Amino acid sequence: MPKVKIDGRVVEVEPGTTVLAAAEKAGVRIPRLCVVPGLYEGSSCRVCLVKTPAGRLFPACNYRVYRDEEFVATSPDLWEMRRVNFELLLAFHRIECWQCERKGACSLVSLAKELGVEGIPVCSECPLPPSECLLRRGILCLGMITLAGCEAECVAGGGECWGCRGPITRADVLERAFKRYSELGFDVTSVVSKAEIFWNSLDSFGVVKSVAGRASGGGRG
Amino acid sequence: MAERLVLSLEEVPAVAGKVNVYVRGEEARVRVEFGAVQEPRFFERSLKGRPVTQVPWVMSRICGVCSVAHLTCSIEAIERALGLELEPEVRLLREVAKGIEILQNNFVHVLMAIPDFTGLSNVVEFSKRYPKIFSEMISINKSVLGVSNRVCGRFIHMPSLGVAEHGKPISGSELEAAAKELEGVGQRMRDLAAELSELWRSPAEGFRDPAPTYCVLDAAGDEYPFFSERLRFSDGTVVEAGSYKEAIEELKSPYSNAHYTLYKGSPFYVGSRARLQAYARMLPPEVRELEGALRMDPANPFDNVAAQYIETAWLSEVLSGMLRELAPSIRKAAEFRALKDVPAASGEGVGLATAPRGVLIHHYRVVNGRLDYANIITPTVMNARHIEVSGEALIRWARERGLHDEWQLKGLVAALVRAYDPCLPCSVH
Repeated sequence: MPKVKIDGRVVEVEPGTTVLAAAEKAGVRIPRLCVVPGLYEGSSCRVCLVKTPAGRLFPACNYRVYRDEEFVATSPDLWEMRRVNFELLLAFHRIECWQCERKGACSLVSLAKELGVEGIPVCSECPLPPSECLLRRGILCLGMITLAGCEAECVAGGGECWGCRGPITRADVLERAFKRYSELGFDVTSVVSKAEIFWNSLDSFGVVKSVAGRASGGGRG
Repeated sequence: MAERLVLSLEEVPAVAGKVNVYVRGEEARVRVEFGAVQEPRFFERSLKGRPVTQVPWVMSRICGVCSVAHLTCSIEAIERALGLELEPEVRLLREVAKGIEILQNNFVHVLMAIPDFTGLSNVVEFSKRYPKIFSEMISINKSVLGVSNRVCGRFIHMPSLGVAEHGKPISGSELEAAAKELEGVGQRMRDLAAELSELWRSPAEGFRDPAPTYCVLDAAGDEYPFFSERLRFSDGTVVEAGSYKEAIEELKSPYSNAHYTLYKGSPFYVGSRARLQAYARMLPPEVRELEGALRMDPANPFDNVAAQYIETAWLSEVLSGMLRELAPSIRKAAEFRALKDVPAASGEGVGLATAPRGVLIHHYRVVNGRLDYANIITPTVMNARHIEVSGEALIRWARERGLHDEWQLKGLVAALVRAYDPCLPCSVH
């Protein structure tokens, strides 16, 4: 049986085993998005990239091993390539976690966190289902425009999001968020006024104000 | 001629924030300067014009140690300014939140100050010498934090507290569990006191407070006053919240970033020692026994630390009783979320809260739903002048007993400052 060496760990596998399966056997974690065992073999998202010591790149889900081989699965350049590939995929996704039922069970959100990709709002971690959203109850929550990563601790604790994690800077997410605020009857200036409390000294707040300005009909803000 | 610098303590250790203490003068007559060197952040001015519902959430950032005191006091001031009525459950849950903070802050401060009462130089040394007691104290603190998370969502900047609301969903069984946990804390503290009794020695036994006037919140009946509408001074004077400026004179110190206060032209003190004296009639017998175990002398400012320990044991019983009372009738928290929009109302209100370190005052004027004026007086501001006169008396007292060594005097003055449990970020806000 061929021996596969991944990040220095050696495992014996059946001929024809994918590098992804070999890595799992070796206890090496490789991020992936499109592989659904038994349903879809993958090779679409290119998030599971690995490389040979010589630097040749392969998707780990698609490359099968028939002889002794060595791969690198953990290195800064691989993580950067995976992040870029994932960002390109995410660019086509309408991030509207505030009205998505999947919440914490979403693989896009967990992969974004793993790869450090920005643009995911606190709503993705909110314990309240969309039907019980605080905004629907008239409470001005900044979760839609605030970066995830706090596990929505304030909402879980009975309050609303005040934005202390900092603003999302993806314009398309902000545009949809401000549209939603308006639909629910919130004045854009009141949202920005509340956001000022934690964000006033941040450069990234400029992006929020600019999008808010456009959303309130103030041109380019 | 400039006064001689007798002692200099820069950044007194084991206190919240930065404070320098200088002793100036001559052998027979010294003057103590309690100087807050913490940077002011101008909370009162910077919030002018903000919608009032945002104000408490920012005000709680005055201090990360006693954030609940500022949060709740700010909420109380707004509710009084706008004439908002509270659901009884919201009132009780807010009082529990306040009580948990007093309990936890007191307990942590006892741990910080314990080397002064056991003849050791710091907490690390204490933990090595008495690992069992230390572990038990850490474990008790953890239990208290667990209760706070369960009832209020989080210990620091509790997200469940808001103007006329309590947002955290909580069930009767959760309240019962929290009550049980706190009951356990009370028992564990009484057991621990028996062990501490063997080690506990006042750093200045027999030292007497030179200015015995104190101030607390006025209690209605025999209920611990977490909040009140009146102040009570030890001379029997009762002052309505709205008239606090007639009783408490707030002055600028030339050597400190914080103000200081006087009552009838003299210093007064606030905190656990004041509360235990004022509310002595309410203490249950098993808690009173702790006064003997820790040999507490209410006239000795150092014994504020013993008072904090005793108050903690007492509060664990008070709070567990409140939670048990609330458990059978608790409704869905969603029903308590009353204030959806900023009311475009105007008014003026003064919030009075029992903070861990003493009486806290938040005074606001609201115009069309926005903050127009704010004045905050914190316990450390009230204690500032009292710390100075106690320090002056302490140096005289020590010298009369033949203590002239500079390092020993410094240690004694530092222990006195710590005993007041000052919070400098609060005092300069």
